[in-house]
Amino acid sequence: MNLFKSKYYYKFSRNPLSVFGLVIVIGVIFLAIFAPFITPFPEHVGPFTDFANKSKPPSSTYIFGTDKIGRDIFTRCIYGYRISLTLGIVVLAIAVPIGVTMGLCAGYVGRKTELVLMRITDVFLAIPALVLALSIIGLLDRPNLFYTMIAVSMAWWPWYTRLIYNITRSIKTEGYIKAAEIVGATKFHIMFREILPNCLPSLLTKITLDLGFVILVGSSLSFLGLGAQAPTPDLGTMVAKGASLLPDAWWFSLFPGFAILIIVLGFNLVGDGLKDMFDVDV
Amino acid sequence: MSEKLLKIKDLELSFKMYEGISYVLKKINLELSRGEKVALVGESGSGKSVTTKLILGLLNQKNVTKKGEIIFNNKNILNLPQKEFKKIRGNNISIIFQDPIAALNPVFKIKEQFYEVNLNKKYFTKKDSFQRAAKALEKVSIRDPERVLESYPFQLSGGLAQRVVITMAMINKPQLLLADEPSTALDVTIQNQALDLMHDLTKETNTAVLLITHNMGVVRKFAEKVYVIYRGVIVEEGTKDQIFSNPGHPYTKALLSSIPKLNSDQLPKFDESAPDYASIKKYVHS
Amino acid sequence: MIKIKNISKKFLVKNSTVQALDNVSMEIEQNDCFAIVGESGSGKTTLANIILGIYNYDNGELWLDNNQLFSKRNLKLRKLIQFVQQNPMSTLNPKKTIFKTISLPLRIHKIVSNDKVVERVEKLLSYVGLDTEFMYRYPDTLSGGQKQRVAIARALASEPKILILDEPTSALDVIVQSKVLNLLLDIKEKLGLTYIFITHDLSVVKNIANKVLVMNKGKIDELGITKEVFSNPKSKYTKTLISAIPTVTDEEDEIKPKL
Repeated sequence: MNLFKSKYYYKFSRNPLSVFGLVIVIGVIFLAIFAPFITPFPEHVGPFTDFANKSKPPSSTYIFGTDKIGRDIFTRCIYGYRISLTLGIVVLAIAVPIGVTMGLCAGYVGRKTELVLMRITDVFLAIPALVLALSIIGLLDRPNLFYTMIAVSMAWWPWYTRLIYNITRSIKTEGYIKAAEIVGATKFHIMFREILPNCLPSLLTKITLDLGFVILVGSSLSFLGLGAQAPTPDLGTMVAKGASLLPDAWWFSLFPGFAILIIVLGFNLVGDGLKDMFDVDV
Repeated sequence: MSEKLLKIKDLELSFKMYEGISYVLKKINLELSRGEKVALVGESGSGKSVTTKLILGLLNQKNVTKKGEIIFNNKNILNLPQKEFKKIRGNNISIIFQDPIAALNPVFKIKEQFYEVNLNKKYFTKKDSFQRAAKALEKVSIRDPERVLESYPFQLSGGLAQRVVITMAMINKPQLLLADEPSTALDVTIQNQALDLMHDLTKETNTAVLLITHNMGVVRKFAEKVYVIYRGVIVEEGTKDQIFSNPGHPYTKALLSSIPKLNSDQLPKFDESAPDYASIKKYVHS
Repeated sequence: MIKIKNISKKFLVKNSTVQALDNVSMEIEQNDCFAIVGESGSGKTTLANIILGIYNYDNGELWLDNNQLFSKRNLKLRKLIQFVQQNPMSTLNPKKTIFKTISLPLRIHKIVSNDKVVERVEKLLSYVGLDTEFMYRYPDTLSGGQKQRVAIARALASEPKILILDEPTSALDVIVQSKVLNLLLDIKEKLGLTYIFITHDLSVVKNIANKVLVMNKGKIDELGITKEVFSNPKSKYTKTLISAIPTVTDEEDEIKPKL
């Protein structure tokens, strides 16, 4: 793998936008990890009220102002990144293995397996992610972050099936696959040890781009009241709570919204950079 | 006023890549007279294919450095603007490639591809173009030209496709035909037919041919003059008879001796102590 | 060693059937270098694929010594017949090191114990004239000839008795071709292998094969000892093929059959 580093890094670093995106992503991750040490009011994240300082506009103490019950919005935004990143990572940690395995099996084994798996995939693909996630949450108890993650994963895996299926089908006829078959390798070995490594560039690119999109979809669900519940700081929920108070308490919605924008932008730029670097199409 | 149709003088080509600079052509010199059949023979990495690309003005990326001259019809075309090249390509200079079916656009019928070529000579109506193409195909013994023109490339056999491609390349009677491994993808029997066809058509129109290949047998069958190229350097130059009966440069000798012979029962033994061929001086026959 | 009795195979291509092999029979004996010659569509590749177990045949019998072979076969039989492909550029997995590629058959067939794998890979590389420093490299840093050598080493790893070589040198430069062909003959002698050598290049056949089979449109055109087939070709097709060879010397031209 270290052979990749030099040639690819060179290509990636030539694109200023990608590097900018990478800086954003690394910055956000850093902020999320070290939130307790960076933010001025970590206690505002839990059950905390300070009605004396409620609805204050941005000032030197409260950089992004305070919300309706006096909590520092800046601190909550940074902690909100923790929720967003967790959502993105968990959703993909569930969706990617399912989707990839299905795509490999459908693409390589073929015939009946292919037929069944791909038709199931088509059904899921036909429903827009947000709608599907909403329906699944509707079936579950009461909304919370965990259920949101499950629902979004269910909406996400088909895209990986489709991607891996297409790549598998085109690689399947390559000489080295035929060679592995003749040498006596099992189907499992061929799918996971011969074909899958060749899917990695596309896979990594898609995962990076998807991190941004998952966060966006997750924030939309939180905006609708699903997702992490109070008092956990969730960027989408924060935007929603402040929406009705626009344009007066503009800082309630603007900063969380902007925070979402930044993280999605970051992942998009890095993803596009990877797309150019690996020269793939996802 | 020079006699030569094509004169390549001290041509150099290098690519700037991540790993460094790659010198592909190192001051090569080559000449073609009108109607002459010349072969540029070498192995992979010799630079023979990029030479044709330079003649056609196809290497213009940022990381490409070109030096020297390519003089065609007394004009240096090495750094000609693309607009000028468009007039030359398909008209004065034509090219055939290795895989005829890949060279044809798969989503267009043959007649439409002829139409594009015929436009160069102002055959603007599709009907005129069709008739001109049909006549040309008939002339090369394709028995049902209308059916061929109405077909898509994948419906043709390799041999038939190559005949079509050769006809297309020759229909505007170019002064120079570049043939880049024209017979390599074909079966041996079809190969000879394609070479014969090229020979006949180019004789009629006095078209010069620059044949790029690694196959010495094909060179012997087709060429009058031969340039042997190794790693971007021309190592030997001579007439066909000189090169085959009396090869001078060690590389040419190695090429010829490593080919299995029909009149032998054993493989030619390989000489492990191969010298650095590029450093040995070019051999010119007197 | 290998007995093929009346094998036929049809393919369904876009609503029409293609008879790829039509009632072919032959015997390949131990230590033969058996050449199969034909143009595209002759069925030579289909025949190789059937022997390798990639396709099943419609009727007929395929025997390896006392074992009847089908496309579904166990590992013990599978390791005995191995394959070197035509195109060196796609025969190695670009994401695997040379070591991983060659050691795969060693592990699958448990040729050596786990601690001896590295040693065996080094030995295989030495058979094909490659230095041990190639072990941890990736295919994209190798030339065509080097890739083909790795492919040969991989084929030898499972200790096969029979090697099927499908145009193993056609995609290589002339000088490299000569090296690799010489290498293949050396290995054949050293390890006592039987070769089934598919090619369109009749000059190569004359120089390395003791028996030759000429195929034309799925049928056997001519089959016999190389020396005899070349000095006295019986079928018109064989004569045409020999005459069409792009020879490089006048001496060769003289011995071509006159059509």
